[in-house]
Amino acid sequence: MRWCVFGIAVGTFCSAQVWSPPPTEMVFQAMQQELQRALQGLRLEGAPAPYYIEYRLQYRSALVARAVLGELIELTEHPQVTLTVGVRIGTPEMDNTNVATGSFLLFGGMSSRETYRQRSLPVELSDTLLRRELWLATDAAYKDAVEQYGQKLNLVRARMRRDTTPDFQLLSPAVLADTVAVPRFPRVYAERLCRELSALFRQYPEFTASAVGFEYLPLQTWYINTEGRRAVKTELFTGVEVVAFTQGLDGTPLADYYSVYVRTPAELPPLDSLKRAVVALAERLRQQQAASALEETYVGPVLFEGRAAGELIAQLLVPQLVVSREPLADRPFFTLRSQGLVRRLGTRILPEFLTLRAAPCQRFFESTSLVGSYCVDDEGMPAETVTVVERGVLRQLLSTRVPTRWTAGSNGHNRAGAPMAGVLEFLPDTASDVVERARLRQRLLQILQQRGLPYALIVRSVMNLNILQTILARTTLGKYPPFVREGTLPLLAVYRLFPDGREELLQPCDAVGLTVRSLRDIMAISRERLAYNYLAPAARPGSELPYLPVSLIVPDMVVDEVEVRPREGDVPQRPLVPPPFFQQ
Amino acid sequence: MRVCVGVGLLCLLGGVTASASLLQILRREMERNAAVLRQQSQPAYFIAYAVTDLHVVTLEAQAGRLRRNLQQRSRWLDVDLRVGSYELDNTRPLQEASIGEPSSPIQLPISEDEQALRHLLWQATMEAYERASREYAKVLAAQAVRVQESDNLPDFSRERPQRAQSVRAHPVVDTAGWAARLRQLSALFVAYPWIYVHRVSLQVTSAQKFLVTTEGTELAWSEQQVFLNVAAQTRADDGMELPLYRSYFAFELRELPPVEQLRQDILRMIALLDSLRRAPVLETYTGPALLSGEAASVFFHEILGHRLEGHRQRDPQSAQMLRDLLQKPILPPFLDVVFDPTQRYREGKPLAGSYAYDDEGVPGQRVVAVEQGVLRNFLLSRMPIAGFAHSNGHGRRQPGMRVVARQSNLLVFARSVVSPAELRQRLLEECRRQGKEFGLLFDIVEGGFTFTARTIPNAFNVMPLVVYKVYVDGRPDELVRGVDLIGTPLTTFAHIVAAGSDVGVFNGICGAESGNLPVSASSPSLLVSRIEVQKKAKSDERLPVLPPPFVQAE
Repeated sequence: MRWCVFGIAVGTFCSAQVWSPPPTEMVFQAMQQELQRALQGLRLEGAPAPYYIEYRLQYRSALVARAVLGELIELTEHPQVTLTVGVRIGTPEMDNTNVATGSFLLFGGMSSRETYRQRSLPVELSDTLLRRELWLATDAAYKDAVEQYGQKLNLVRARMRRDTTPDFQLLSPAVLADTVAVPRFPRVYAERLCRELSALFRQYPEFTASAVGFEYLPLQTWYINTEGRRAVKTELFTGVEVVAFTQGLDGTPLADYYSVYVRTPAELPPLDSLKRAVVALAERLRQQQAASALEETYVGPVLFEGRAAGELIAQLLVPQLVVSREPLADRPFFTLRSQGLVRRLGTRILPEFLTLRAAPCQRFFESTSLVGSYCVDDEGMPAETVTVVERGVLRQLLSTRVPTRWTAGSNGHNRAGAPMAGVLEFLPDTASDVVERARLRQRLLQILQQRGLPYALIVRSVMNLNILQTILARTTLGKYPPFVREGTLPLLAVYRLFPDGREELLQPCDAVGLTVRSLRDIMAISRERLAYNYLAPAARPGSELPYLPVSLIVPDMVVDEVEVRPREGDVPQRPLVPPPFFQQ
Repeated sequence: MRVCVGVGLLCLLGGVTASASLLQILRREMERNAAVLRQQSQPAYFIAYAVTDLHVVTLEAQAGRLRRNLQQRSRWLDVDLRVGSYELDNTRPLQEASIGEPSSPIQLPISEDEQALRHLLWQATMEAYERASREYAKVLAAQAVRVQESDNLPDFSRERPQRAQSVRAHPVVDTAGWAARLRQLSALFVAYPWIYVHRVSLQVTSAQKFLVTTEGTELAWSEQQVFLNVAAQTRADDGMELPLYRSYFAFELRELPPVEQLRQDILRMIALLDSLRRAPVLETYTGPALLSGEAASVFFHEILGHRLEGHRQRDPQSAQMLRDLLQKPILPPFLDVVFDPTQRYREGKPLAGSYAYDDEGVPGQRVVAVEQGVLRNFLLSRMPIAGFAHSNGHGRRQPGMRVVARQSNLLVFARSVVSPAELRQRLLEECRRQGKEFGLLFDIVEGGFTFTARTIPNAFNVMPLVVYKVYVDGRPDELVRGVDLIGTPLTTFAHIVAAGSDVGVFNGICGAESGNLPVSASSPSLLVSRIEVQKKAKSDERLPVLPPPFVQAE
């Protein structure tokens, strides 16, 4: 579950300071003084002075616990302070940004310029120390800006530019605040939670591996720029992740997970409820050991239920909903591979009965806390509610302050330095294809009968990429394949639905060839929706964090023409020695 | 005082009980796995479970404030599993992959819970067996199609099993007190805005090590290191970065120098940095030089020490420069080089490369590598090399890495020495003889690196921080900057002409194939008749455009 960047090796029992961020007044005063000094005097001979400077200071404190079979193997709590500085020189029409040049430091090369992105600062900050760090980081950011600007001028001179979109747009001053008191969370409770949940796997000694992870990550951000914009905000994230891994009787690797992400620890489900979820996960995995495999490729309607529907949207649609500026590059290597859906604005990407809204400032859906929620983004902009898809037609994308050919300005979606979704809500229409959840399965049966299919598929769990690449990879010692091919959705809990209504749990299989276009084939959805919180891989390069919390409010959905393949190829042998406490 | 003793005793007893229980758990699971894996067509003939229980306290200060304050406890498992036989197993060095497939350390709970521990031990053993089987298949395939190694040496030595328990409780560190001291020391830099980076840090590392093998070894022992480091960096007008480091090593916190001494050392460091940023740049130079004891220590660690590591003598990719020089002179006859992990102090200074057992459970041993200039021995893990069938207790690793032969405490002894003043006089004489205007004095070095592979030139690079020109005409010594000491090993050895009576000790962390390990090197100062320097890689970064926001002390 790592969405926070840690400065130390993971896997420790660690004690450190508690949550004690520097006073906001001191932070802003120090920042303002250094902004002023830089605007007045920062200029190299023969180079333009900065026309815009921004500072972002972040204080975060991570409480992390991990346990295996009832025993704690990691418990850390430590604060971290980072500073990011942005400097623009030139003019808003053309400045030093949005350029990618290929300068590599080969063996023996060195760059000794001070760091100014995610610069690590002492946890005990004073105004003098903060100003000194701002001074050094601003100087380095300015020098980089001068070099970038020179390179960009050279590139531009040799070209007839088609895209003359300005690089930036200056705004009026604004002061925003979105703070909450940070609740303390006792370490002993984190420890107990991990111990008790992981101890449940003692009843499943045949499993190869299992683990429970917990994280509580409060984050305070101070933002200021030379336009007179300043913002302070608090973001909270709490997560519990449970993974288990075993092999089927035929050797097939079987893994599954349960995760719950909320903002404050108090919003976590009660321990008993978490325990029930863990047992359900373990029981399903045990059942899957003897389950049969899908014999051949299936192409037809698939019902994605609950969290599986969330993961379908998370992997197929969410990364495509952002827009970012394609950098001016001296070689194609540096251009963005994909610009998501920019060229499909105004066209239908979803069925007409679906509208999709980005509502980043929404805190709850029904009683569920939304972890992707924020009201001020990381450029100090208010998080706007945006209708992204209106009755199936793509209307708008999620943007930052960097203007593009397709967006005039920010709609408040700069997260960790790059565009990223926060909260996305599907708003079902009242069409006949929107039915009660209980009737959706019935609808699938009807389709199955109409088409004379021997069975259809229901998916209840899809592998999440963050889980796969972090806690699961570590827990299984890399035994579970850590990579997923593009266009492939790893289905963990798949059920065959027969015409008579019977269900049969299958071994894991893969939905292949999926693209955003596949979502046009959503045939029906449930009226009821679920808030699906997850950690999403950063949607664009340049993000300071590899994963960010995102919330989706999604209905169950039947998607047509989904190709599902059994997992082919050899499987690893079952262990030569049985697990130590497993009686055959 | 009594309270402390009582607490210490309780902790020690607690540690012994816990270690006995942990050793039993390790033994039980190992035997269960070994019973099956021994019977396979590719048999596991050796299994070792090595558990490292780490307690690390890290405090770091900058400008009178704490940057970090961490106390970390973790327990790591390494499974060494060998498939095949002592004569030929999966670890046989191959041309393509001489150090085998990478593995990652497995984290264990701190408790002695048998079910959790044994399950993780089992999981790690299965993973290790699969990896070793794959490696062994590659070794067998290579055997069939490639020219056989001329020595036909076994891959693993047979050693007498060891059984001992001497685990100490992890230390209780007065973090509040040390945090206050570090704040106070780091605040000394605040008044000097031209020092752009500075840190004062303390790291106390306590490792409880447990080792159980299928050969019958059952060990539990402790190692502890304390490093107090001071680092500061300025920049010359031409952009050259000028760092200085000062490292204090101790086994116990109480052995560290008093705060007042640290304060004085920092003030001297600041003064030296100020001189350095004004010092002229030295152009390339070839000629005589004096190496201080500390500089000579790093020089030997890089140039000789790494080439004496046993596994390099079998690694097909290594240049094996010293392999055929056994029983032949490689250094002047007045020099001995010894590696001794059992020697904990030299000239009253603690040595960081000390340990009771190496990471293969072999007792650390004194190894006379060079005697009167003649190469006598190598540093050996349990990988035999030509002429040496057994380990001499130098198999070391960081948790998660595979054991190879590594240095411990490198000790250079001179059989004939002269006083520092006389050594300096001989430097000047050598300069005159060679018609040089000046010689060089390498006073402080930050470390170095060396290349030992066949595919690239076998050179070394020692990175000096403080170098002086010593003029023949009696002018005062002149501080210079901007050069690295370079060369090729055997040629440089041949130019060592005299040793001083003063001894310098360098304690540090050495990084190589098996990870980062504490080591020491100590040597008398040396006169070298011919050294070569090259320009240091240099930044062209300008000084900050604006003056610093504050100049006065915080």
